[in-house]
Amino acid sequence: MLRNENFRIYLSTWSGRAGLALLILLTVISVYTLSTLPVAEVSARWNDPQYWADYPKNSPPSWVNLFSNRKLLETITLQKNSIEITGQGRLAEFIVDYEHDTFPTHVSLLINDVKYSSRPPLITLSVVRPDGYSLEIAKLPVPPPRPDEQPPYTRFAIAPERVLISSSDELVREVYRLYSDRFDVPVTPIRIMQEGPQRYLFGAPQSGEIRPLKGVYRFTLTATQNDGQLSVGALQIIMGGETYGFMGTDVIGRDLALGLLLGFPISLFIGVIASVIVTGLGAVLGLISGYLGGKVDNAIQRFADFVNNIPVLPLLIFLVFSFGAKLWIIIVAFVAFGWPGLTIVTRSIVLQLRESQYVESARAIGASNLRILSRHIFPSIAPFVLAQVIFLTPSFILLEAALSFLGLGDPSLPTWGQILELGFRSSAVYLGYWWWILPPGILIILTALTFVMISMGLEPVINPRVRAVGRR
Amino acid sequence: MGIYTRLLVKAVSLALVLLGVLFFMVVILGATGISDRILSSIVNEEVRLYRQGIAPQIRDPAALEEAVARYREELVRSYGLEKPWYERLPDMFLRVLILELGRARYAQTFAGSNKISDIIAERLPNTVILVTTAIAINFLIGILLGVRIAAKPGTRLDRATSFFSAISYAVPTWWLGIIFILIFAFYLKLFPYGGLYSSPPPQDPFLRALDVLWHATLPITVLVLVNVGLTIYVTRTIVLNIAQEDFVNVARMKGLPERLVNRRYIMRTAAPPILTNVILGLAGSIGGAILTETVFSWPGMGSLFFEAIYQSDEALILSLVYMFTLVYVVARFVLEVLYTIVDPRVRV
Repeated sequence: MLRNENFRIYLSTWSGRAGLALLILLTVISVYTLSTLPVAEVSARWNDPQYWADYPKNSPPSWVNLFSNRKLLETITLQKNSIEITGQGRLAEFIVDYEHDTFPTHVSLLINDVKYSSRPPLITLSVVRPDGYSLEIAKLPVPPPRPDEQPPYTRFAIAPERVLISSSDELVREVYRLYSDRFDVPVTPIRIMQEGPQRYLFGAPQSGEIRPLKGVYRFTLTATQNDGQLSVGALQIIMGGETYGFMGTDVIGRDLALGLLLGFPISLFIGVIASVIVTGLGAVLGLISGYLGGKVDNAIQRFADFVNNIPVLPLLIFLVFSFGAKLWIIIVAFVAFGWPGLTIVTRSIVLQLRESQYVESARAIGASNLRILSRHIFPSIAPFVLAQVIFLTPSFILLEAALSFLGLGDPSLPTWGQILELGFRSSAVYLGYWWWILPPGILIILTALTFVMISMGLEPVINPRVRAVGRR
Repeated sequence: MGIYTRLLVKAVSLALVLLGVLFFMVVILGATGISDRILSSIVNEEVRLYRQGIAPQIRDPAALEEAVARYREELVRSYGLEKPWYERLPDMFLRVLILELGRARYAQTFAGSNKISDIIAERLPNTVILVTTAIAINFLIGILLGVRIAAKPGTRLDRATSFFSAISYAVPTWWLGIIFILIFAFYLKLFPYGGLYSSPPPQDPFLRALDVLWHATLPITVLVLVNVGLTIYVTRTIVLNIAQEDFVNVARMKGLPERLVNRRYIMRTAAPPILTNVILGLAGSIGGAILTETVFSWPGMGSLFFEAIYQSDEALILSLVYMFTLVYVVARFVLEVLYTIVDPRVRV
């Protein structure tokens, strides 16, 4: 009955309602993230630059195309699995209708799981352009068998072999030949290399400059060796775009949406866990200090005063730096500096309760200290303690983000602060990469604001006498 | 307790905080082996200089190596590196206290010295200027507005303020700084991206001061914006509580003019708790300054912190933690002196 009444008071404030709605939203997103993404695996992938090699770098989200006239290219991926090899060793043919106003940022070829039994094959990629010219743009010799190896020989099975076509010598040579012989355009291989051979591959000279050549490009992959024993697992041609996904990418090409999504459970976890432990420790010390009094009280209060008088951030930096940036060390450091405020306040409440009549009567009938503390005093301060858990949560979320921004976040877990840190270090701010800078900050604010609003909504529920005045 | 005794007690307890922090750091550095690394890098540096000095005089390579090895051994003994860390505690403690921590790994002063004490001496004033200006503006605005709003509780302005203070509590200082750079430097090109002076700095002292001011505008605005919401809110709450006290009602009922009631009865009583709040906010302002300096590459101790972490410069980090604690302790003491002026009770 009483609970319902409190809940009604809480919901009567707009901040209470908004805070609750946001908390539900954050929880749903976190649960969704945890249930659909294996966090450990995704975190490892997040830190593996190899994995992101074919993603466009520093690219805005794809939806910017909706708002601008100049359409940016989205990454084009051509893929063929379980390849059947037809006559003349033909592996696959990809047809691309290229109708874009810009060039791909890079072109690469990925080959997976090649098996052969006799001589090692040579895989060749050639392309027929819309204007009919044919170019042989990449040659990949499959490594020969080792002396003691038995057929069939398997290559590129663990990780796909990646050929960066857009910087291969073959492509440079071919487009140089094409442009100087057929188009009669004076270019040098060095200039082609500097400007990016893929521009020449997907372009044609037009009034003095290279413009995209629109139309159908036919990519053909062949293997020189076809004795019926050759098999190829999968083939992929990737043309790097200038935009990516829903949230864009960073300098390594990482899909920011993934990092931002993982940030939800991590941020909530750090904030709530640190706050629960700090509040628990602070309240217990305050209870002991206030209830026992005497020397114990004096010692605890002197120590709390001491810790309370330390400028926290420099010492947090120091602690995390000395012991290493690991999640549990960060939380321990938060606890080490966070408890005193609560201890001092709890003590002052307990001092009043200790003299109250119901505690006195409990003592008179011979209740033990433990029983009085747990059955009589703790229930009276419990609502205050709960409110403190919520009140302190945003400060730990913000502190963790600040530490991450200073380069002291746990590197094994992607957090919003770390995304911002890399953005700041790699000058995303000075280059105006807003998609990299705005969303993580907004999410940090939203998460912190959720708990601020909940504690504002709780204010009228909790006894106003013990209302805490916030400080950072 | 007399006013001097009180201040003396405060000074001693603040000094104890400083020494306590120092002791705590030195123990951690010793236990984690970091102090060994700091001292060995000092030794290596001195050995390198020694080798450069004597190399032209000793031709025989074997004799040279022997002399260098002997010198290194002497140094190791004089720094106590062969002893376990806990026996070296007092020495390390003194070393930090006088900032005798050798050279920074990469950081330099403007003139090119990489001695840690020189670097700190160059950076300290910049930090102090930034932090004190921001704190002063924050409390000027916060207190004036807070008092003004407390006079009309429940109005739209009042509610807007509490909403603003909730938001500003949730906004990370450094992120706001980044956004300000993005808006005011990148898009609008009104203010510089960061730094202390334009390059080259103007020669005329007046223009130079204007230049610094122009560079300081964004960082100070950010620091004030993030902290001022809370100051307004807390001031409002304190003044509001006092305005409802009986003695204020009595004064009004006696027919005293409203201005007199405000000044003598409300503000006089509200001043000490407001100042207490200033004292409590100090640590937060210093923390915010570390991050703001970093974002705006303001050449103070905060941005030095960022560089030191990036370069894993242990000795520099240690000195910076110590210096920040020192700045905090000194500022606390100044505020305590102010407190004895505004609160007559502590003077009896």
